[in-house]
Amino acid sequence: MLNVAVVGHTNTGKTSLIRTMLRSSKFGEVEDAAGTTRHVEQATISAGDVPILNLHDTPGLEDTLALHAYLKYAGTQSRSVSPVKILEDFVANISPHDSLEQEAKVIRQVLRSDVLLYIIDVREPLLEKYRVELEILTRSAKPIIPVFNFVAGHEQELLRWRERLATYNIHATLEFDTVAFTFEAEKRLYQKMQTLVEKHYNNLQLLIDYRAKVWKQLCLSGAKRIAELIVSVACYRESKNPHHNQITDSLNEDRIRDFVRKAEQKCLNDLLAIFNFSEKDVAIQKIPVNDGHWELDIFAPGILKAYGLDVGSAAAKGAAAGAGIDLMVGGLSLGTASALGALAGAGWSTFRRYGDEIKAKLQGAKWLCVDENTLQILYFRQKQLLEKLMHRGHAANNTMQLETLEKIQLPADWTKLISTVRQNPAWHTSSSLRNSHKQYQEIESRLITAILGDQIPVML
Amino acid sequence: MTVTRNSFADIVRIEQLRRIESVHAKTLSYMSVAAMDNYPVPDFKYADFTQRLARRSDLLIRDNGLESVIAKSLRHFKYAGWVSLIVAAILGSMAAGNAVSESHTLNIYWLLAVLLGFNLLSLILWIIGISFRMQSLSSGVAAQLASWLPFRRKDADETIESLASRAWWESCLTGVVGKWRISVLTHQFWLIYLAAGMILLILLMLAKQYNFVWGTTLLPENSLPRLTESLGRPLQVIGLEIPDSHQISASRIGAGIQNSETRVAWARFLIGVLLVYGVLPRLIVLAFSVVMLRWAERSFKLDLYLPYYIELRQRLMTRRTAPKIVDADPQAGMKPMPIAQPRQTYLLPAGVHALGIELDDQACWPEAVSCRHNITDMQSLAEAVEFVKKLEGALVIGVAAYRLPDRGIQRMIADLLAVTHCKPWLLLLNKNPAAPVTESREIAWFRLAENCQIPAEHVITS
Repeated sequence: MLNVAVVGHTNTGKTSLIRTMLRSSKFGEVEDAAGTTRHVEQATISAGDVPILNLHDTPGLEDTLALHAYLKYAGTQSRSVSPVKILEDFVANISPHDSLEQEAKVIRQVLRSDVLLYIIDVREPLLEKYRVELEILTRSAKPIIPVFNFVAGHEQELLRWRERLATYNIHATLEFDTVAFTFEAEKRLYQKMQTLVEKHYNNLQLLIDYRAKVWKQLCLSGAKRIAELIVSVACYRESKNPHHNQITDSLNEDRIRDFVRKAEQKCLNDLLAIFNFSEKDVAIQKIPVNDGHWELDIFAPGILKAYGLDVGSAAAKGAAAGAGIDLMVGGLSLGTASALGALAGAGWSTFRRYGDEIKAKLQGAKWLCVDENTLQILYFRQKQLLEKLMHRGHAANNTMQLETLEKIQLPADWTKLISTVRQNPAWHTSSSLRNSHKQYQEIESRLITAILGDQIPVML
Repeated sequence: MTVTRNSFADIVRIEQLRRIESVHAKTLSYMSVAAMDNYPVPDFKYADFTQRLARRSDLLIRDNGLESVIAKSLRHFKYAGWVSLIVAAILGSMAAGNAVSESHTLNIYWLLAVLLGFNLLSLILWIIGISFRMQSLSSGVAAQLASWLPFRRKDADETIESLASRAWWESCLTGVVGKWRISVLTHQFWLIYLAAGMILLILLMLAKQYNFVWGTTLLPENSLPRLTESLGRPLQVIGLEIPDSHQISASRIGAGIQNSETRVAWARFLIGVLLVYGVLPRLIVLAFSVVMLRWAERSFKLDLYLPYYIELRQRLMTRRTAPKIVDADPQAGMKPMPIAQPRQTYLLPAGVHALGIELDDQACWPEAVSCRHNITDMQSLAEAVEFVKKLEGALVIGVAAYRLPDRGIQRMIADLLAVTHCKPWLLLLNKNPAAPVTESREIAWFRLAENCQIPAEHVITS
């Protein structure tokens, strides 16, 4: 297996990098304190059941200049010895209570590893000690990938670092922000490892493909969950009887509000669970909910066609049954049975589909539903949340806020989609009947495409 | 743990439990599954997950006494199925009985039209419905009634029984599985209908004597004889004799009395046509539907995007990262001594000498203090050491409080203080006065000061 050592000066985000790569905030300890990690910890990254590489989190290099001085002295004592041998002697002879014991742990792991990821916090000034660290690490004769961390919002600093490393003849660097994560950065990290360790090329490719597949599934799950929320809320309606008093009406409105808020909270919890975050990662204000009025709209896109097919089929079956009876009585019924059968079939199909609406019309009742504005806000908030979660590393410890709405474009055919969804109140709850409905699948697909945008190709 | 593929019945039980839990979670007991949470796995697999879900649902159903409620739906459907088949037998017998009526002369083609016409219409509708994916067309009336009546939806009814029933209905009688299950029932209905009709006909023909005739007004004279021969070819393949041309001619309406061989030939022809053009096609489509049903059940997958399964997946299939420590910290578990921050900090004396360590251009010095050296590398450290050797009075070392200290900085400060007689001060510089330094960082610098024997009162926070 490929052994990767994650090294760097103290507090540059080594443990955070591993957390982000593992998609888990449970690895190691991350504190705003000096030298949190003091041991070497190993985590394995697998492609399914196949372990591909071991990541080693190391303690930070702290007293680099002292280490450099020690190694320089050791070098003068034995000029013919190779730099690697000097490092090996250093780790072999260090005592557990030596002030450089922590650095020895790092070097020990470096010597055992195949690739080194040297983490650089771009917010740090360009100090000599970092050059010295790199120089010490190159003595191990292991390939090194300098990884820039905390790059988001620090473009100028990043540029300065690149220029400085170029003067040391280091050009193959990588940006990997452990807080503002992008999947592309993780992919590039593995690809860089591929170019440096040919022996593990195929395994790393397996890992890249597997991680890409899992990432796509995660994003698709998130988008699908939001689509489910939008459909469920759009379909929801409460009956409003004209004989009800104000208190009953007010209770109906409260029920709608309650339903929408609970539905959004559930969706938020599910999105967090999908991406392996927790409730403390996000703070969301209560959504303002307004009521709208639901009207039957037989001309909503697809509704008439679906109704027509339904009624047509039922009428054909009814007519066929009636034709059988006509035949049995030797034609004496003159086709009456066929006609009545067709009528019964059509009537039955209409009642099954629009029974509630017909009853409501007869009683003079109306329907309350969630208004268009609320639906749009719901869509914006959840889309924004998904985008933030897709770009949040597991090293982040700030709380995401979702109160202020950025300008997010609605899908081009939003009105048509919502109109169709509203005309199918049975879609309010998930069922295999709903999920296998062609029109529902089409609407879901379009919503998912709009939610994910150009972030990821949609595979349904 | 070996993972076996879950049966469709297991998946349906999981779905039924999901529905029940969606409304009645608070009333159920979860003691039997409490130990199932947080089962670490290296990676998610559908089969593993469904197996754990099946185990969980089995435990919950058993411990909450839901077995009978869960099994009721299938029982109801089976009863409804039996009822529809009994109705099919009755209708088939009635159709055959009506078709022959009290007469002893039977018009063979009218009889076949009555017995097979309805069946043929139904078969055509089924084929169109299956081909064009219109389930409402492909499912027979009786089968649809049998699949609707016991499970007719009452949305307001959220008892455990109705929830389990609805879940069973959705899983087994809707979608692809439902399409083929109802098709199977439809074909069984028609098979029983035809079989019952055929049996009654045979019984009647055993006990009574019928003459078979044919006739036409509009069709050409040889059309029905030719039709008889065409229809009869498959019958001859299976060994049934059909009326020959002479017998066919002798059976024309008004041709006269038939002999017994002619009657027997027509009877065999009638039964043969019912078998080959009625029962056999139905048997074939029934077998096809059964195969498709099994395939659909095998392919049926839970919708893991549902919030219920997302939550259960997190609980039952925690991803195992299993890190291990390969080079332990010899001081692991030892917590550093708490640092007591001073109640009072002295002000910097006038004329203090100032040095910076690893400061960037964002560090803000107080106006009264002028930094003489900023130590950023070995050379500037050497220069600073030389500088402080000659100093008297107070020496203030400015550090960037918004960054964390390390042993390298600590050693630099210790090296500087070792060669000077000056009273040392540590100035924690900020880059943005509006954004205070976090307490954890301040504590880290106080600890450094303590290690360098700088009194806590000489640590100044800006």
